[in-house]
Amino acid sequence: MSTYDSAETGYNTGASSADSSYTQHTGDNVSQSVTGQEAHQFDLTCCCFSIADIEYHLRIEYMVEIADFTKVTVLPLAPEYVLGLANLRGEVMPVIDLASMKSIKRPPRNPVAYRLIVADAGGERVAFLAEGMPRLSSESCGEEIDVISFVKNYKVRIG
Amino acid sequence: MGNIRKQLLGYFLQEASEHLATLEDGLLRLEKDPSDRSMLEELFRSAHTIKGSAALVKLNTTSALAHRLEDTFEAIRDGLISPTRELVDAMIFAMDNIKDQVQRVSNGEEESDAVLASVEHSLKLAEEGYAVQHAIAAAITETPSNEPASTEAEATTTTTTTTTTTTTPAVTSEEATHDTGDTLHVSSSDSDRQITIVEKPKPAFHAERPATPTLRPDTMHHLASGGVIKISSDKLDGMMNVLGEITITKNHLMDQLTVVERLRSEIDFAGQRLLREVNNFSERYSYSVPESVKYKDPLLSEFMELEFDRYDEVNLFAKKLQEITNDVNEALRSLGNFFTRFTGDVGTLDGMIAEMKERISEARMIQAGNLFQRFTRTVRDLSRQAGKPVRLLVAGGDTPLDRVVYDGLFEPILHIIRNAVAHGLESEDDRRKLGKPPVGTIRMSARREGNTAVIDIRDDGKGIQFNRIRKRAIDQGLLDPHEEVRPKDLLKFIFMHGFSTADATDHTSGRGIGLDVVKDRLAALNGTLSILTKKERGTIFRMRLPLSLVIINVVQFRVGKQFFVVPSNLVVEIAEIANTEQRLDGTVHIRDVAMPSVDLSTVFRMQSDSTQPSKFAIVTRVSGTKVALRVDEILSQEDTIIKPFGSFLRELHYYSGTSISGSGMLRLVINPSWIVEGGEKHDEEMLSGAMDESRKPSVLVVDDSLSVRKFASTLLEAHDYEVRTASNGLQALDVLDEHGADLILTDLEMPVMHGYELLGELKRRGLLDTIPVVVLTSRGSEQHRIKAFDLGATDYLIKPFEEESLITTVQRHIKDHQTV
Repeated sequence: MSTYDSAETGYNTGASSADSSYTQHTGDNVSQSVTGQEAHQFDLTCCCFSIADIEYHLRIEYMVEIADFTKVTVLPLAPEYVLGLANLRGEVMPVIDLASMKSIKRPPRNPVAYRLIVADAGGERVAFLAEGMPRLSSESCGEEIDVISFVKNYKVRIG
Repeated sequence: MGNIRKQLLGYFLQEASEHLATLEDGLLRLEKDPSDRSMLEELFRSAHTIKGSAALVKLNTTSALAHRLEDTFEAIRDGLISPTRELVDAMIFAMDNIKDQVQRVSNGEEESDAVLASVEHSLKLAEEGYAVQHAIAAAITETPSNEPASTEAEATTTTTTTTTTTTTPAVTSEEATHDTGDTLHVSSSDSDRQITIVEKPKPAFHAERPATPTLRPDTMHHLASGGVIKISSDKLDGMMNVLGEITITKNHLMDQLTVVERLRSEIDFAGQRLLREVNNFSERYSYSVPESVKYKDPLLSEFMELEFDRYDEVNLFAKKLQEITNDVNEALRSLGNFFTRFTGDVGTLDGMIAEMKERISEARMIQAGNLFQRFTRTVRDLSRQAGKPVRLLVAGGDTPLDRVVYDGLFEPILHIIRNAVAHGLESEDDRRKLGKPPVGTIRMSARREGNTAVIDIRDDGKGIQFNRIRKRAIDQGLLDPHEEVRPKDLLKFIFMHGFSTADATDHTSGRGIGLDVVKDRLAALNGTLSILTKKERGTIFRMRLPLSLVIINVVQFRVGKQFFVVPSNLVVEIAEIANTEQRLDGTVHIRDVAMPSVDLSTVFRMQSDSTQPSKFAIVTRVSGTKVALRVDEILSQEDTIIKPFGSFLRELHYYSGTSISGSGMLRLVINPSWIVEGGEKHDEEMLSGAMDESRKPSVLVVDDSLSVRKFASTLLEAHDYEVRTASNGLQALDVLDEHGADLILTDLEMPVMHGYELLGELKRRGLLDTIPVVVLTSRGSEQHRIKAFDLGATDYLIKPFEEESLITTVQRHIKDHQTV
């Protein structure tokens, strides 16, 4: 993740923002609480989501879309953290369950409670499973998912 | 003109038109800005290429003109002269003349060397700084008189390019007009400053003379229309992808059609019922007199009843109902006709899409010869480095390969060749000691089998050395030193990552890419690799690949609740097997042949559908051996696009990607070779014919006469040969596919496929190099004998034959082929 912790943005995990007035909005619908002038300077830099009560964020430039949970085709013999394959308008991508990566058991929920955060890792797409509604924010929250390194480090290795 | 020259000429014309365009563009840029030297190197190279390739097809004038132009470019490049406007004019003049020559050749005419002198003259003058216009003008007027014998043919094609600053271009051209008897017209070309003088085609009354070519700017059009255009492969891929999507939509349409068909029959059935009921009803009530009317008023009884009075509401309703039903019936009939036509149209569309796919695939195809050719230099270099003389033989170079396959195969083949030179072939001395020809041979052959391309890389070296594999496996702790392992099980080790039997990394091998990578690359191309090796006789690496990779025919099947597909080219056959037919050791019996099998529900750890009394076996060829994959249900066969995984899932080798069905369902594409070999099954025959050293040589006897087959079999078996028989050529090919043979003994006259056809087919498949074919026939005439030898027969025996002569012939040829 360190590659993207560059000083130029200042919005890193746990780091205080350049403008302290924004920090207090973390967790709220931020756009409501900024004035017109502030909104002008305001940049949404992260997509924050959570799964099994752990928060993660994805830098906005790697995010493609937030999609409703669709039918996932099971991928036999894949590691547990690969939930399966999703077909979003003809584009097929693996769905990753960050909870099972941390060996946390998710309580079963209604599929409508889930969303898919579609990320682009250099032309290749992966989707992360998220519980509840993810939000776009100027503030990082929880653990950063650096998609490019993620794909490189956690790619499926069999045999 | 020979066919080869014609083909070469075609290539030259295509290439020349590209380079002439480069020249034209570059010269015009140079004319605009003489200080711009950026394109000089390119101009020089274009002229140089035209020179070389023209000389290759014996177009000496074109070559000489290009040579002259090349000299000028070189001089400018080296700073000896500067590109004055006059010099550029002279160069354009030279280029136009090259174009003119090329145009002539393209029209099937001979070159004219009359222009050489004028081009030389104008370039020389310009180089020396003289005003070129005079030279060009002079050239035009002089040309015809210099070459009186060819005035008519030659002079018609003179072209000149000049600038508006020229003093008297019109006069010059008019002079030319008088001389040649042609009319000229002046037209401005792309560049404003430039006027191109173009000759008009001959008027109609000169029709008996050969048509005069129209020159620039039409020249380029003519050159390009030679029937060949170059197109970027991305564009073809794009078309293929669109076609893939169309195919999927078409599949969806076909699926819908069955739904519609069912609806139609339901409506039809309901319609018929309605009709029957209504008819019954109408028959009963249309004309019957209702009860209410039956009472007759005594006062009115003497009056004749009016007809209408007899009908009450029920009658009218019945009548109406019948009419409506008739209408419905008529509509149903029309609907039926419509569906018949519609189904027909969809069928036609299906056929056309298939043809389109075939045509685009063909356009993407590259001949295997082009791939093989890339190795001639490699083999030469490897041979020198290793100090072993090697020759490369190539067969089946005209077999088409998909471009993706072509691109993907280079490295695997390179690796196999490196291995062959480094480990396979012996040194010259060793070969002599073994009685082998001192020069080692590597044979590359390609052939087409259905929708699969088969590529063999064969060396005549010492074969895979199992003792070394064993030693290395023990050294690396992969094998217990006391364990007895069959040779074919040892072969598994060479497919392991990082396994090399070479003692030290050298130039020729040990570059990090191992056979494991070769196998994975092939799997990524939906292909398979198998090895056949014999001690002291060499090794064959056999690769099987689908002909087209973009749109691929697949078999769809179900395991548990999930749907999968497997490329049809990997499927040998599909059989239904009763659950009881599966033995405990996992083998299944299909048509009395036992073969190892893998249950996919076990491999995929899925709940199998145990309610069904039978399962299906998809018989696939893995590394040369048949293995049955047990699945719950076979659903369909269709064309589809396979989308490979991205890097995140690429190493999940159990699958080669995904495919989306017509209804949008996602299906996994299985990779049988990994499922079988990675599926913890070890008793499968991984490698066919693997190093069975004690194997008897096999002979295939092809004859339609049972007695000849029996007689020859008995005789050969008595001499310790393994004999297989076939009653015609086609059967023989099946046997060969299945078992191979060390020698074929064939009759000439047979039903279905006769002996000559069999020889032709064997030749086409490149098998005649490796399998000797002895003709055994009652036809003793010289004419038949010659034809058989022409087709590649090794020997010719006449029936009735002597036992001894048959045996010695068979022995001799098998022995010869073993050492070669």
